[in-house]
Amino acid sequence: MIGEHEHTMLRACSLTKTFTANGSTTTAVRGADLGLRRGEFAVVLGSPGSGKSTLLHLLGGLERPTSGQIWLNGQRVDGLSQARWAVLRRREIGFMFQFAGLIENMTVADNVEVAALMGGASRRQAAGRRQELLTELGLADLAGAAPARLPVSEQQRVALARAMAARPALLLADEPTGGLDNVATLAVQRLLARAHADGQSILLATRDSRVASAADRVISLFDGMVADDAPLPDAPREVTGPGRRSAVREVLRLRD
Amino acid sequence: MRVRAMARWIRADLRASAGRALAIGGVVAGVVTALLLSAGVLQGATNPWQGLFSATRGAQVWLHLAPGTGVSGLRAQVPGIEAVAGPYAATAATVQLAGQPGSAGENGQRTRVELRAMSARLPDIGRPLVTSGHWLSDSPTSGVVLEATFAQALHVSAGSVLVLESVDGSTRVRVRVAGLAETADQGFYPDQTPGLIWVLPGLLRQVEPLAGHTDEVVGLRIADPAGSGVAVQQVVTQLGSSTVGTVSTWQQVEQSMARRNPLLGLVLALFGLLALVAAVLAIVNVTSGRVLIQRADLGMLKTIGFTPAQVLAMLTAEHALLAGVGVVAGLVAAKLAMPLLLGGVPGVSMAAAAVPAGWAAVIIGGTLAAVLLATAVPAWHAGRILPVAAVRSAPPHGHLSRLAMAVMAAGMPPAVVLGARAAFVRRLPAALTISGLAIPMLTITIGLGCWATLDEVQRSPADIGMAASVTVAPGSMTLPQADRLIRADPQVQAAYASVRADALVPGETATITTLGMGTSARPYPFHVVQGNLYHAPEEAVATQALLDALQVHVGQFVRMWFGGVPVTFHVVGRIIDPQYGGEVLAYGRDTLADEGATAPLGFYSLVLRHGISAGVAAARLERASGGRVDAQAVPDPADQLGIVQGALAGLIAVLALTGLTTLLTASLLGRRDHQRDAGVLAAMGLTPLQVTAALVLRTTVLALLSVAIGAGAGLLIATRLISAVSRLYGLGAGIGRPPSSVALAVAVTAAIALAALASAGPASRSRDRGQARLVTGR
Amino acid sequence: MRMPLLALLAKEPAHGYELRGQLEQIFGQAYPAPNIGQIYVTLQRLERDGLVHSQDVVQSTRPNKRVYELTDAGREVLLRWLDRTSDGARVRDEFFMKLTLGALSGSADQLGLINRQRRHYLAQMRGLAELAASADRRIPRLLIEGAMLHLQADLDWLQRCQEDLA
Repeated sequence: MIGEHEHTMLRACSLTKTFTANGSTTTAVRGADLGLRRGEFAVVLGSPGSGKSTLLHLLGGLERPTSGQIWLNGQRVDGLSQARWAVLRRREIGFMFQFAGLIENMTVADNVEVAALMGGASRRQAAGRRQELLTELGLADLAGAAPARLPVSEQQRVALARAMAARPALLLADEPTGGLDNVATLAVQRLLARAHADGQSILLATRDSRVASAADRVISLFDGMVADDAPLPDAPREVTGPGRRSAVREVLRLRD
Repeated sequence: MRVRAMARWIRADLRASAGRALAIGGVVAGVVTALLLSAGVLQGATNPWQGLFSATRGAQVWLHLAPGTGVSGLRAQVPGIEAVAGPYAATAATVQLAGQPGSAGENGQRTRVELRAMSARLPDIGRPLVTSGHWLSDSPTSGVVLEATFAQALHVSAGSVLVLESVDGSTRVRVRVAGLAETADQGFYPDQTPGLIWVLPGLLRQVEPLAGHTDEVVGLRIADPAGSGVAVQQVVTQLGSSTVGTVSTWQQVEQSMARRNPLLGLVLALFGLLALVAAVLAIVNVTSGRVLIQRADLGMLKTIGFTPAQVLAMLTAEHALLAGVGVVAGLVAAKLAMPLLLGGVPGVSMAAAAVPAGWAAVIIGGTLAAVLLATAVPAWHAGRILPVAAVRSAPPHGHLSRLAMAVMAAGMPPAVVLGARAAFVRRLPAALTISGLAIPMLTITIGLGCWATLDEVQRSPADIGMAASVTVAPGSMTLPQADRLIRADPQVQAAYASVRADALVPGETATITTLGMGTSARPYPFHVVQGNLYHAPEEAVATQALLDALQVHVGQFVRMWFGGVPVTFHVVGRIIDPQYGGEVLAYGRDTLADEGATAPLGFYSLVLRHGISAGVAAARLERASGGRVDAQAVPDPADQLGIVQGALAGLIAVLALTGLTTLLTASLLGRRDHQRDAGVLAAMGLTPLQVTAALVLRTTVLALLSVAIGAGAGLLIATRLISAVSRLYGLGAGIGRPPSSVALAVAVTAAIALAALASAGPASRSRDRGQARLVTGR
Repeated sequence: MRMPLLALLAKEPAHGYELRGQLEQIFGQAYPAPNIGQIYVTLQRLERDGLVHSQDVVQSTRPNKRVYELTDAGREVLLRWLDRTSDGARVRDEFFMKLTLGALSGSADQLGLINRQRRHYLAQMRGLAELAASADRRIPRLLIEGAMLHLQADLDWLQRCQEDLA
């Protein structure tokens, strides 16, 4: 899985992140190894505090690992300066935070368009991309709104649109459906599925198994360590052996 | 594209926080205005030549040549001459005020003047700047134009009627004053004599028909002003030394115009600089406050690909933009305020007060640089904010000190304790807020001290030794005649016969001026700031400057020579007297007579009744004497002090603005920090009023502390600073007054009330939002 | 299958084929409809217990059909069933056995078991999610969502097991 061949989008080796605050140290990520192929959709599963967010922050260059290496497109990136990481985040990496993370003094439209502009889009392209994403997420009417005035679920979707505005090669999203209702979750899932179908590489941290179930691969994080990293088998519905019911139907079977 | 992204953010930010943008722009505009006005006043008061020179497109060198000297070839013959003004015909004459129509005739004093013939069309080079009335016209009743300072000395204005008389008295012509004009051609009257009157060529010939009595005057504009001496030599060589009468260079004119007392401009410049410091602090406050408030946003920008350098550049560009707008506004404001400030002040004209381009450039450049410097550090910090700041906010934390616990346990309302404690949770912002408020407060206190001092000077000039407002020299009258004349005048409260005598002090190269003022039995009412007034022969009082020059102290003896007669004075007191360059030794007139020294020149120092104008009284006395005495109004320091007070008021306003900016920043920061606290406090059972009180107190405590520091230090410094400055000018210590308690109380109360007000709005808003946030968990 | 049949008959008398159709219509795929034989066997047992009784209805064109009707005793049994609270779903017994006994016997790695089971659950979740996306009727969709929530609970429980092992 962690092979350094041309199909590897992202690879991390022995990533460790230790925080020191008020004299006590906490290790959020300890020796995590993982890889992501181009076009692959992987989820990081784990309970709160398992280090999912920190792992994503490290992979997006938002924080510097205490030790370990990161390769992006075969290029070693863990030692890059803040400025170089920033340049990578313009086009290569779209990052979405767990809690909205929108620029408060800009409108919804500005938030999305500025990200597109940073990615090198022209003004017209940026406006087009904004229109497209917001429409898909059911937020087209909110273009002129101030983010702080919106409910969390709407902010969350705007943040996803912002992360995808520059058509990044890799989307890193932290709990993109946290706090969303059913309809909004479905809209986000649809957007992710469509992007994935178009070849978007996605690494997503989530606790929502419904979102996770759409992934190609599951990385289970436990106490900062990778406990499991394996492709998700196809839905067992099709695996109908002799004398054995479809597992899905088994789940649904009403017993009296 | 990235630039567009940056521009988009800047625009959004300016729109979202218009108040902050306005504050920064306003502070910059205020400071630029203050500095430009100070520079203008300083320039006008100390070196008016530069402004006049550029306003009149003056010539650097002026030559009086024998009649008939050809100067047409001068430009071609002497290298480095850019332009030639003239030649104008000029002749010496006398002028006197015309008597009342129908009276016996003109019997006033004759004053020597130079008449200079110019046409109705103003020349390009050396064009007199008309300040009132109008320039010469081609009409036969055109009249004449007087040089402004000369007109002021003669007490004439546009419309006055004068009598011009040829030197030999053979022709007399009554003329009307068409206007007054300023020029950089020659120094101010009476430093520069004779006075200058511009007339039409016809009138000149009418007054002085003899061509042989007429000079030719030419002005030369030279390429290298520093080398005017060389140019003069070449011209003299070219024209022949016999044809060249007098020569004046711009250096001489500049020197003669330079005032001895730039105190006023200096005070203003000092305040302007303090205002700049306060402004820089305010901007540091605003900027670092906004960086703290916008941590999450800035982290977000980093997340979407802004590099540290771009964040730095963006903040700097935004502030540079605001500063630029502020500078333009300041330029406009200064332009508008200058006439208001200088209007009606004698001797300081608009043209003279024009701030040289170099100075303006330094002020503007300096202000911009200061703003950018003030922005740079917080902006650099902003650049270094980690992208995760977008989500990982670091709320300030701290613990309740034992003191706080004890105070709360002792029954102090928790709102007070929590609010006061919250003020210091963020150490650096707290320190910035305190200094950002204390420095304006300090400066305002000093300003109020200056104000009080100036008030005192204006109310009772006697306190700075200016008891007499008119001096009368007997002129062609005998002393008893003059005495009778003065005693007959009902406007005079007291008159003191006085003598001025130069004395030589052993070891000193120059003579010093001593004054025998009144007698030791009836001494002139000097304002004694130390020791006593002279009450016996051989007792004397002196100014600080003289004491310094002679290296003696009050109580010591000083020996000096009056024309070979030694006199020993016992210095019994120190006085304040701004005249004679501040170096004055005064004693009873009888001392000199007792010692047998001659008293060469007598004059009267008159103390007028309250409310009598010195100028009017002087003119009346002269008229009453039939022009035989020379009555002079002592220059009234209050004339210029009015400007200083106006400027002080403006500066205090600027400083208040910077303080307010700091306050608003502090309260915004507090609101941000305590939005969550507000909810928690409410949940803990504090009433809404108590919650608001806690948040208001947070800012108010800082304001209280700063005001205490600022006003306290200001009080300590104010009188000393004023005295130190006045000592520099020989006035000696003792002139400084502490700020009036009312004014200071108003300033302090206003500051604290503003602090409470500035935080009350945000506090109640944050109380509501805080509760909402607590509920939604965001 | 006794209670669903009693409940349907409480509405109106019906014959076997009608009951089968109604079951299918209500529950859709969620309750794979039993074959007609099973239904008749159940109906006969119910009649034997006196909960329903039947009579033949003569049809002109087709063979006679047997229509079943609820008896008073049957209605009472149905009401008692409806009145009784239901127990919740229990822990997946088989996996729990594997987890505890597999480790005991030393022949299976617990973490491996958990991981494999998690992937299995996720795969099921994907299937359910796809099913949910295609479910257009209210009752089946509720059932699928219920199943998904149970799966989520199972996944959470797996997490709990993992924490306990650590």
